[in-house]
Amino acid sequence: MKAGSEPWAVSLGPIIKIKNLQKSFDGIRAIDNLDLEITKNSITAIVGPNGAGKTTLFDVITGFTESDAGEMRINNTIITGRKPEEIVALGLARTFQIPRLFKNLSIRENLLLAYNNSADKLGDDEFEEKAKRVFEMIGVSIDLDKSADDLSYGQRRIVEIARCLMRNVEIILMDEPTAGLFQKARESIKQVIKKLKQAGKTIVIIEHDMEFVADACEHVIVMDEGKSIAKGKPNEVLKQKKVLAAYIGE
Amino acid sequence: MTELTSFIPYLLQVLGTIIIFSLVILGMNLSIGFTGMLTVSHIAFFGIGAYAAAISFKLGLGFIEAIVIGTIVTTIISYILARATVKLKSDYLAVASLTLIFMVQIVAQNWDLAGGVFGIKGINRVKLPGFEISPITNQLAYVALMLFILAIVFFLLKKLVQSKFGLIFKGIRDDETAMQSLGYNTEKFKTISLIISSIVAMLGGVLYAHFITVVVPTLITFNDLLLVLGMLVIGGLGSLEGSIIGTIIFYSLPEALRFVEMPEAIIGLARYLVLSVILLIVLYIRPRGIFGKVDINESGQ
Repeated sequence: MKAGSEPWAVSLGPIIKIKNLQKSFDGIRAIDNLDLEITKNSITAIVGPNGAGKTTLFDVITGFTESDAGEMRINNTIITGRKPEEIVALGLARTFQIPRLFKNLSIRENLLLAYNNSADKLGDDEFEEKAKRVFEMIGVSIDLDKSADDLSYGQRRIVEIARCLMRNVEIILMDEPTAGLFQKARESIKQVIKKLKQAGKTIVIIEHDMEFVADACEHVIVMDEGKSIAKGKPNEVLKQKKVLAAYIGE
Repeated sequence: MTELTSFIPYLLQVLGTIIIFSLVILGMNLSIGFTGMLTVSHIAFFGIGAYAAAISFKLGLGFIEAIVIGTIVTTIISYILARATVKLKSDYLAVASLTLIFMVQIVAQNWDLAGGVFGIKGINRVKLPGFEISPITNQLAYVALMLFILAIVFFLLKKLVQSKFGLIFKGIRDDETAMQSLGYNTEKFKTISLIISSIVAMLGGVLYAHFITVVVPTLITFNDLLLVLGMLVIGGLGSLEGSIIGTIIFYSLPEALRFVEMPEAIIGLARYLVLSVILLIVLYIRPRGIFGKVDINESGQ
């Protein structure tokens, strides 16, 4: 039987599948023969020491950086060598280590840029409705007329996530969503991520905070020197000796 | 009475020059202030417009034909420039786009049809029916025509920057990577922005040729570039109104020096001194320029 012909068949397989992925920068292997699978509608954390290749992995998946070898698929569609705009059109969105909002624009304009690329409508009713639903979904209320530049660091992260959700996305890659945040803001990001899963999204996060990973994520993949060295449930994986060694740097 | 009859042409001359500069600044602002592309090639397209008009005149073609030819040439060259420089950012882009200014100048100097180093002289002012009574009425009519063209361009640009298209330009200005992550082909939009902005600057050149009636290769100089950038920065990046106001302030205040008695040797220097002081004062009080929407150091990052 061929997978992919029925809707349910798709949901059985991994939503992201990566095989033998390679990427070097000036001879240094940032991603070294990486195999990886992300389960649909799950929260997966990618952890590992600095320089393990986590952000490079996101850059390669989203097409910002070209891979040297290997194959990547989203929902069984090969995305290797495609441009960012083609890859994100498959239902992928990402946030960045440092939130990348359009800082001279209002929050509304930030969201509008994510909403329906071809539409030439400002102040459209459908757009307003969608924006309202997105903020309801993530459980945060915010004045849309505020300039993005006036937001706190934590609010910027939330608006960046909201901006991703203005598109019809299935997968959201988040690069250190809690970095630089206080406990309270961290907690609200955690709640947002859990709500996204409830809404059927697949979430992949790069995270350093192990408490956060243990509490919010179902799967964890440990990377070190461009390789995946361990994977499984957070509680089991994070106790493994080689994982601790990678962090402590033995 | 004689004073008045000589003052009116002078005033028209100032007004006409402001209109021409305004078009160049509006074009530059669309690129730099709205799309975040630090390109200075608009001076080159201004030159291309001036030469398109001068050569058209030499070949017996009219004002409208000059605009059409200028638009076609500008579209082609700005498209090539955009494709060649699309991956460059900030000062690298500025330097790359600067080369076009020298290229246009060198071509103009060495091209027989363009009159070589002597350029093309004696270009007719566009004559509007009913205003051919005297040189002054004719000049008045031409300045009115230029003002009308500027108004149309301003209106169209205003519509553009307020549309979703304009919002996409601003998004690219603020963060091109984020735009790509939202699925935009930013290279395509940057190319479109550069072409439109180049055409606007080119229009200034066509108007210039018929206004000054002489087009020489030295009309496109590095000094003019600094002057134009000063106008842009004073008015403010990301504001069309600012482009007009900046041009008026930056051009007309040093003009006032004409009415101050001073030795001829220092007039030119005094002009640049005044410009520098204006620039410093404005940027000290308002770092974003008078109407600016974006910080100067943020653009083109």
